[in-house]
Amino acid sequence: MSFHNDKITQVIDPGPWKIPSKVTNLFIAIALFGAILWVIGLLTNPLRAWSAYLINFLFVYFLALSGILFTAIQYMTNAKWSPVLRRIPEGMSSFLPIAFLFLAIFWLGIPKLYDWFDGWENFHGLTSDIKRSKVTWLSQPFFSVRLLFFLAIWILLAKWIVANSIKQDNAALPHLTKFNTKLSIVFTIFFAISFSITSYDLLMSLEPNWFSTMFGVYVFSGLFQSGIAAITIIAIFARRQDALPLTIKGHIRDLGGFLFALSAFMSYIGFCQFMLIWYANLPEETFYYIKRTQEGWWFITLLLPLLKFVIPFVLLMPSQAKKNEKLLLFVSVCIILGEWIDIYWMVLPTHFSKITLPGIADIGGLLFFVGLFCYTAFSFYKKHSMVPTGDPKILTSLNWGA
Amino acid sequence: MSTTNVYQTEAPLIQETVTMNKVTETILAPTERLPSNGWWAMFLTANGLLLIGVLSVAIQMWRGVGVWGLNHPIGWAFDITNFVFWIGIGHAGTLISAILFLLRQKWRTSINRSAEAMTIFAVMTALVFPLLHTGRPWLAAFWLLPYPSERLLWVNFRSPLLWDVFAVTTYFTISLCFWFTGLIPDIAAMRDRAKGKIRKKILGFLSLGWSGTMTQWMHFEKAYLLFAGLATPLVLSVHTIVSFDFATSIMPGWHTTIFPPYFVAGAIFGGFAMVMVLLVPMRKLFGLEEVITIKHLEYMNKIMLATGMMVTYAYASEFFMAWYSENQYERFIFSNRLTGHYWWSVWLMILCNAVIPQLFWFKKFRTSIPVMYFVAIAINVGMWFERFNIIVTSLSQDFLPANWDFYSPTKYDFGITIGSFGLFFTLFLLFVRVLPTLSLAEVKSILVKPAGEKHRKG
Repeated sequence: MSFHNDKITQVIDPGPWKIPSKVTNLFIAIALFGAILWVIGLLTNPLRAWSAYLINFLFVYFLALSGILFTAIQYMTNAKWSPVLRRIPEGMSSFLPIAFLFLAIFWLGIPKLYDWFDGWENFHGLTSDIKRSKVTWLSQPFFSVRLLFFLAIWILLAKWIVANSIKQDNAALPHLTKFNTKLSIVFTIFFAISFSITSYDLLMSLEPNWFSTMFGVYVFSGLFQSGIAAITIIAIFARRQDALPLTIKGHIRDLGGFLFALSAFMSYIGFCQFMLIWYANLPEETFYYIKRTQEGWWFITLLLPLLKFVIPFVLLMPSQAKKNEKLLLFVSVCIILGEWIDIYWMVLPTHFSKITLPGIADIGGLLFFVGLFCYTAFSFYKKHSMVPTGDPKILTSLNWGA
Repeated sequence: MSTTNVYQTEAPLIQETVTMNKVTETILAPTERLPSNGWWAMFLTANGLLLIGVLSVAIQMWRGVGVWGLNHPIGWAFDITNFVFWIGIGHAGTLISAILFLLRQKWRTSINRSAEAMTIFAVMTALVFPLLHTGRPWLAAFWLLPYPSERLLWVNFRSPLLWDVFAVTTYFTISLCFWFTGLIPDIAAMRDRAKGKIRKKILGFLSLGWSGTMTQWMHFEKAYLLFAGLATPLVLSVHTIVSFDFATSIMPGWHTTIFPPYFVAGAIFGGFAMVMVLLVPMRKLFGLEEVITIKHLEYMNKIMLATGMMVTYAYASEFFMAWYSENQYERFIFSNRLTGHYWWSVWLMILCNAVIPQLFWFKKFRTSIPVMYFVAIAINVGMWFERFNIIVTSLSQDFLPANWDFYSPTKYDFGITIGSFGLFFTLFLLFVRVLPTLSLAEVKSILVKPAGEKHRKG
């Protein structure tokens, strides 16, 4: 029931994003430069280098996963506002097959990073007479194989969903939307279980004696928050370069609303996990936070609520703020930085009891993985039309907020 | 390039045949006629249940809290189970009125009013239990009012039980204001139609001089948005703090970090089930099938399915962590839940909360009233037992085997529980008689409007 007469009645295909090859080549160059830095780091301090590998790999892995998760949620909820944005998260998920390779390579780093790898003599649970679950659960090759298996299923479903979405561009195939909805449901349910286990394995088992039932939700909320931030950044640039229609202002505002809500959600989960452990004061739980608040680590710990909660929450509270693209870019960058620091904060204090600031291996790993991630995502945007023109709901989506 | 537009705009929530006039007439009719026999039957039944509760409370007041089945170590059982259950029920109302409003979910308009009313009655019912468990509430009033530290008897501000007092009272206040604000235009509509002089006076007083001018509507909408913004964190905070009551302790089975979001999801899950239990007979009795359509009910079922899965996830993560952590106390309590003294109630909970709602995967079941009613009741049973399991199984067998004991409720425990349902249903039945059960203005805003249609006939 719009009072405007400028209702869009026809979908105009903006085509693929015209990104000059210079830019994609630059991403490759950045990745190569990062790889060199990381190798230098590996030669000087292997433990630190593998930590950096894990941090930066997870950082882009989560961004890629958030892409397919966002897509799946939109299908599942029959969302009418978002189809015009859908290519952005789809492109982000195109990194997943490459992630498979790097998750496999991480096999080499596991002996360095995970103390349980050397056996359980050094680890005593509360009592020795109960059945040791960790001997079975945290053991190679079960550990790596299950992580690769989860990723293989995610890749399969992601490829399938994205392929169906692209097929719709050239022919009217509305049944594929229905089919994708079903695939999305399968994906989301599988993801909830397998992602929790992935986060327990890759992050929680760094401290093999520590446990928290909230941990999967905590890592998930960081993933989702940084994923939306990445989508916001790409959407704003795509719109500025005419790769997406100018009319998506309302969509960008809604992404801002998402960022606001998720900053509250993330901090809620983070606070509850911390507060309950602090309050109950059980030594088998508190050591995780004690490690992260001593020897200078408190400085990093304090950055988390600042970047992931205070800045987005305070700045995005006014409704006008969500329409301000510069502000949205700033907030999104803070959130993504916060997510990187969050992973850094989860991984590094395990082996480095004194605060260590990002070094050559961290920067190398970051450049390498981000370069690679951007290369795959932008190659996707270069190849496929930025608007899923054949989506049955595309007109409703284009007229959203008009 | 493709310009095909194959997407059929979805059918409107409410059929085109429903006019504005029809909405007004259908919704206000029950408040302007004498109650039907069906209503009397339900009301008297609810009264009967309430009477059982009143008698139990009277005997308890006379003889003391000892009439309950509490023992050592189980100092908390039916009372706190009922408290958490009813507080949880309230969450659906705030979710529908606040969060779905902020998310621009238009289908909320047909169910928000009754869900909000339900919230208020559920919180009122819940508040009976903390009062009763003080034993002599008239003495409790002495140090609780007007605020807990008033007589310099400093309460323990570090206790989540005290946070609960503030969380629940804030929640109740905001929900009540939100609900009443939404009611103002509708009460004014009733006032304008009122026949009797006294009725007109009362409604005139309650409608706060509403005349429906543009300025009033502008203020109204602003206030509504602000209330929605204020109420949204409350949806999360109240049950989060209720979960802190347990999770801040060191009791195995209580102390676990996933409790806050798990309790919130469970509360929304149970709350929607209770809305369903109330709405299905209400729409039938008052002929509201055209405004509360199957589609509305189907959407609610989808939310129940989603939140049910979240609760299931929380169960699974608790069991997994108990196994993974190698913590013997955690392990014991969780294997004890499945196979110990209370195994039947734990399996009943899993059946009702994790298994039965899976029926909603099928559209056929999502849109079938008998099935959804059955599932909604099952969820209510399951959610009640969820709290019972958490509270009683953990307490009954804790660290010291010498301390172990089991709990068996007395007839007074049952009596008060039954009475709480009686109180809740009585209040709701009174509400549907005196106030519009749907928001007139909001339902009208989503109708398919032919041009130039008038609100009144003729």
